[in-house]
Amino acid sequence: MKRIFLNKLFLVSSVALFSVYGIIYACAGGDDWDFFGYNSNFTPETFADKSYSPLFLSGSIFYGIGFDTEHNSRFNNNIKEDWASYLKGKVDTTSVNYFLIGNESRRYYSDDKNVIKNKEEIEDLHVFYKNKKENKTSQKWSKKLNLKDEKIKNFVEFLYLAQKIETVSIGEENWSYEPVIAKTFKDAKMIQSIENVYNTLSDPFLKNRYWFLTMKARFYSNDKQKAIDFFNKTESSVPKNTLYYRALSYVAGINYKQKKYAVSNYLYAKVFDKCPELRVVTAYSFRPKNDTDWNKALLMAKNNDEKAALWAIHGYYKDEKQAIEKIYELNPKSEHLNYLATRLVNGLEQSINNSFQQDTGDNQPRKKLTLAESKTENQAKVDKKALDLIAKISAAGNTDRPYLWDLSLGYLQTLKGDYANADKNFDKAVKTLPKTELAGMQLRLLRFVNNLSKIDKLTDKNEKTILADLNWLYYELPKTYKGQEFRYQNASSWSKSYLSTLYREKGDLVMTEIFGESRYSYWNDGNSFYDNEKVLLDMKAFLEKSNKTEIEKIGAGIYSLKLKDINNFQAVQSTFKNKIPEAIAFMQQTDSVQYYKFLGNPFNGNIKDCHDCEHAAYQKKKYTQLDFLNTIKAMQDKLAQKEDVYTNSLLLGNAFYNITHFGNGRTFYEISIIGYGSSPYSFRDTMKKMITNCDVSKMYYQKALEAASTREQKAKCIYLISKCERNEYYNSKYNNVNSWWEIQDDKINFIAWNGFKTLKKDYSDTKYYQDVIAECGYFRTYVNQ
Amino acid sequence: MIKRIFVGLFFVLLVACSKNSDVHTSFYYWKTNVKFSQRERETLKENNVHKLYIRYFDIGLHPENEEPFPISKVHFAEKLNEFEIVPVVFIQNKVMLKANVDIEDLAERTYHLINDINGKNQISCSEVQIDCDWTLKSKDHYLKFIECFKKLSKKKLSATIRLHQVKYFEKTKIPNVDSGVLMFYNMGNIAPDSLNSIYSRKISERYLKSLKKYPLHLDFALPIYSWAIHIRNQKVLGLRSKLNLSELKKDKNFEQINATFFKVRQSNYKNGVFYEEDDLLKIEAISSSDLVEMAKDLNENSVQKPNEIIFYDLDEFNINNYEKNIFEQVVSCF
Repeated sequence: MKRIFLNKLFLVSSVALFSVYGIIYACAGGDDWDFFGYNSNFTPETFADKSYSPLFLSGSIFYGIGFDTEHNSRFNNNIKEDWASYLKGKVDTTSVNYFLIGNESRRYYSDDKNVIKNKEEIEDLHVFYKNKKENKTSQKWSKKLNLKDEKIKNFVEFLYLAQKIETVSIGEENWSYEPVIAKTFKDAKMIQSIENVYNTLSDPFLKNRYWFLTMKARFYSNDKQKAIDFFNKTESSVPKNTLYYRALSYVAGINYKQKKYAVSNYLYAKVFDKCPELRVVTAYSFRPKNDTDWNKALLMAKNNDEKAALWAIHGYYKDEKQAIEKIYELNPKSEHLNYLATRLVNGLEQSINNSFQQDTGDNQPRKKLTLAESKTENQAKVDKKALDLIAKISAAGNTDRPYLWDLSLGYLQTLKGDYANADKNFDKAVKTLPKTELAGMQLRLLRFVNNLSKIDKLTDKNEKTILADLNWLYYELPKTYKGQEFRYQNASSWSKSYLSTLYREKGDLVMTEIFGESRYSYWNDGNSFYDNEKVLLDMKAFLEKSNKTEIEKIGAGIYSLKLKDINNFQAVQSTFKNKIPEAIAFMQQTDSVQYYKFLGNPFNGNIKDCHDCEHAAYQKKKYTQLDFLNTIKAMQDKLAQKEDVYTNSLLLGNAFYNITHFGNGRTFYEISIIGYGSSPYSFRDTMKKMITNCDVSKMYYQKALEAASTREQKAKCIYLISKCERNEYYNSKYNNVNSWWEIQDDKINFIAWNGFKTLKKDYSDTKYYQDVIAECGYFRTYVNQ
Repeated sequence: MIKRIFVGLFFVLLVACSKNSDVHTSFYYWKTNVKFSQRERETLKENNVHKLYIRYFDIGLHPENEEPFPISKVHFAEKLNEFEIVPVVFIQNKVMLKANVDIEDLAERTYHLINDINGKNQISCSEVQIDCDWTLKSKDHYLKFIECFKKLSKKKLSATIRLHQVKYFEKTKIPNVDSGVLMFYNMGNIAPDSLNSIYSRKISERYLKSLKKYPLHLDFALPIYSWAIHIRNQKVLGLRSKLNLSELKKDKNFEQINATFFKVRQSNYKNGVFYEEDDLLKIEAISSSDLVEMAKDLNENSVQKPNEIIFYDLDEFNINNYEKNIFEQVVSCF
C-alpha cells in the first residue's frame, strides 16, 4: 500500500508537471499559491476534526503539508503505544521505542554517521533465543531486561519477522536509488511461517499483530491475490481496529492494481470513514477512472454510512455542494459534513475581491472601487445554491455541529449584504458553540466583519461598534495569539482597506492614507503620497494633534510612518533643493536619524566613483547627517563672505555629488518615504529624478573652476564637471526609460564629454591629467583614440 | 475548400524542405518508467534513432526541510543496449534560487545519483544533460553548479537553453557546457486565454534573430506533445496531458465550443480527474505544418547546422497525432 501510494504521488509531482513546473507555479501566483489563510475569514480548524485538516481547501495537493511525507512513519505512535501497553512493567518505554522505531528524526541524506543499531540488536537477540547462546547484545540487554520473560521474547521475535518485511515496505531514502519501482518480498517460506504463527497463537494482541504482518507480507509478495484470499478467509474473526483498516487499504490497493477501480474506491471510502489516520492516504488513492467506476462503487455501499463515506471523498475532488446534499440526506450527523462545509465556504471566499480595486488590463493602474461598487461586485459572487443549502441545514439544526451551519450561513449573509439575518444566525450559533478559544475568536471575527460591512458612512455612533474589534485585530491578536490556525489576517487587511475607502469617499485624504498606505510598489517602500506638499503638511498636523479620536488613535498606531520619517523626508528634499537652513531644522526633528553616520567621507571627490572603496578608506572624522548639513551651512556662509572660494566650492560640489545615486552617501536618501535600492529603477519617477540629478554639484564645481588659481586645481574641477556631464548622459540614456530591458544595446559606454575634451586639449601637462589617465579607463580610451 | 488550400499549402511547405540531411533524429523520453510500446519501438527504428535523452529525475525542494531532493527517479523495464543514452536532470529553478543552497554538495549528489542509476541498470553514458530554466537571480548558482558538475563528471555536458536565454545571453550568461539544446517551445504562459503556450510564431520571431549571435553550438528540441489546460472560473486548475481528442469529441459530457475549447456539460470523472460542470478544457497541440514552419525558421536563422533534432517527447500518444514520416520531413529542413 505504502509504495503504491508513494509512486502515485510522485507521478503527480513530476510527470504531470514536468518541465513547465515553473510556469504553472508562476501563473498560480508563485509561492503564495497555498496562502489561502490570507484571503479567508473562516478558519476550518474551528469546525472539523484534525484528521481532515490536510483535506481542507488548498492550492497544493494537501492543506498545510503540501504533500504527504509520512509514508514510513504514519503509525509510529500507534505502534509505540500498543507495544508499550503490552509490555507494561517489563520494558520501559524508551527501550520499547528504541527497538520499534530507532532513530525518529528523518534522514534526508544517507551519509549520517550516527546510525542507531537497533535492527542489528534485534537480529542478535533472535539468534540468542534460537541458539540459546549468549552474545554481546543479549549480555548488554539482560542487564536491563528479563530476556527470559515470555512477553519480551514474543516482542523480539515479532520484531525480527516484521523487520524482514520492512526491507521491502520502507520507501527509499532521497538520494539513493532502487532499480525497481516496487520491491517485492520473495521469501514465500518466511511468509508462510508468519502465517503459521498467526494460526497457532491464542494471545489476542499477538494474534492480531501476526494477522496484520501476514497481510503485509502477502501484499509485498509477488502473489498479491493471496493477500486478498487470506483477508477474505480471516476478516470476520479480526477486531475492526487500525490494523484491520490498514489491511483493508492493502486490499483496496491490490484491487486498484488489478484495475478493479470500483472495488478499490469503495474500499478506500470504507477506510476513510473508519480510520482517521488514513484519511489523507485514502482520499489521495481514491481514483474512479470514469463515471461507471464511481456509480458501481456507490452501488457496492451496503449502508448509509458507507454511501456517505463515498460522497465524503468525492467531495474532496470538488462539488462539495452535491456531496453535502447527499451525505445530509443519508446521515445528517455525519462528521464528514464538517470538512466539506469548510471547503465550500473557503471556496466561495476565494472569489471575493477584498482589494477595493479592479484590474483594468495589462500594465494599467488598477481602478479604485467605491464601497458600493465593491459590495455589488462581491454580492453577485455568493453562490445562491450554496447559500440555500446551508440555510436549509442550519434551519433543521440536526447536524453534529449546528454552529458550523449557523456561522457559515451568517457569514454568507454578510457577504450577500443581509446583515440583520447574519446577526440572527450568529446569535443562534452561540447556543451550540463549543467553549474553545478558536470558536470564540471565530464568532467574534465574523460578527466584526458583519458590523463593519453594515457601515456605509462613518458616524460617531457606528464607529463605536467596531473600535474594540479593531484594537483586537490590530494590536491584541498579533501580540497574544500564538497559534497558527486562526485566520484573522484577512479581516485585518480588509478592514483597513474598507476604512480607507470610507474616508476616501468622505474626501479625507489623510485618513485614507492612514488606513491604506500607498506604497510605490511591492519591491520598494517609497510612498508617493508625500509628493504632494499640502497633504504632507496635513498629515504632519494630524500626527502632531494631541486630541485624536479613538479611531484616529488606532489609525495612527498602525500607520508605519511616524513624524520623524516625514521630517527626515523633508530634510532630504530641502537638501537636494539646496535649502540648507530648512534642511537642518527638519533634520533636528528626526530623533536618532540625525545621528546616523555616513559610511564614507561625504566631502571627498574622487576620480572613480567607488562607494565601497570610499567606505573602506580611512576616515579621520565620521560625519553624522546633522554634522554634514551643519558643515555645508558653514561652508556656504564662508562662500558668501568670499572666503577661500575655491576650496569651499569644491567641497560643496563633492558634498552634493555624494548624496546623489552616484556618490558615496546613498544612505542619506535611502529612507522609507523615498525608498531603497541600488538601482534608480527601484524609485518612483519623482525620486529617481531627484537622486540622479547632479546640477547643484555641477554648479559648485563651476564656481570652484572660476576661482581656481593653479592649473592642477583647474584640471581637477574640469574633470569633476565631466563626471556630472557623464551622469546626465546616463540619466537620459538609461534612467529615463521604464525598465532596463528597454535599453538599446548600442555598445556606447561613454562619449567625449566637454570636460574630457578640455582636459585633453588644455591640461595634458598637469599631474592630475596623469592621475585621471591612470584611474579612468574611459578617459584613457578617449585619449588613445 | 478551405481545407484544400490548407492541404496544398502544407504540401508546398513540405516540399521546400526535402533535401538530404545529415542531421540526426532523436527523442526525449520523459516518463518515469522506461518501457516502449510497439509503436514507439517502430518509430525509433524507422527514424534510425541511436541516441535517446532520458529524464533520470527532477530536483526540487523538499516540502518539509527545503533541502534539494530528487523527485521521481527513472526506472527501466527495458534493456537499452542499442541506444546511446543521455541522462537528463531537470532542476527546478527554485532550487537555484534558494539563498544558502550548497552547490558543490548538490553537484556531487546529482553526479552520484546518475552514476548509481547507470550502474544499477548497466547503462554507460558519455554525455549528461542538465535542464533548468535559470533566471537572472539564479544565474550565479546555476553557472556554479555546471562548473562543479563538469569537474566531477568529466563527460560531455550539455544544457537546455530557453529562448530568452539566447536573446539576453549577455545578461543571463552562458553555462560552461559543450553544447546547448534550444527548447523551441513553452513560448507562453499556461493561461485561460486563447493563445497557444507551446508554440507561437509571433513570439518565436521576437527571438529568432538573436540566434545568429549566440556563441554556443545549439541543437534544437521541437515539441510534439499536446495537452489540455483545465480551467475553472478563469483559473488554471492544472494540465491534463494525454487527453485523446477524438474520444473527447465523442464524450457526451463534453461539448466542443470552438477549435481550442471544450466545455464540461455535466460533472463527471474522466481518466481519474473530476470535471465540474462549466469547466473548460483548452487544447494545445502542434500540427505537422507548425513543425515544418519551426524547422524552416530555425534553419534560416542559425549560422551553424544542428547535429541533431530532438523531439519532445517519445510517447505513443504523441506519435499517433502525426503521419509516420513527420520526423524525417522536419529533420530534412536542416
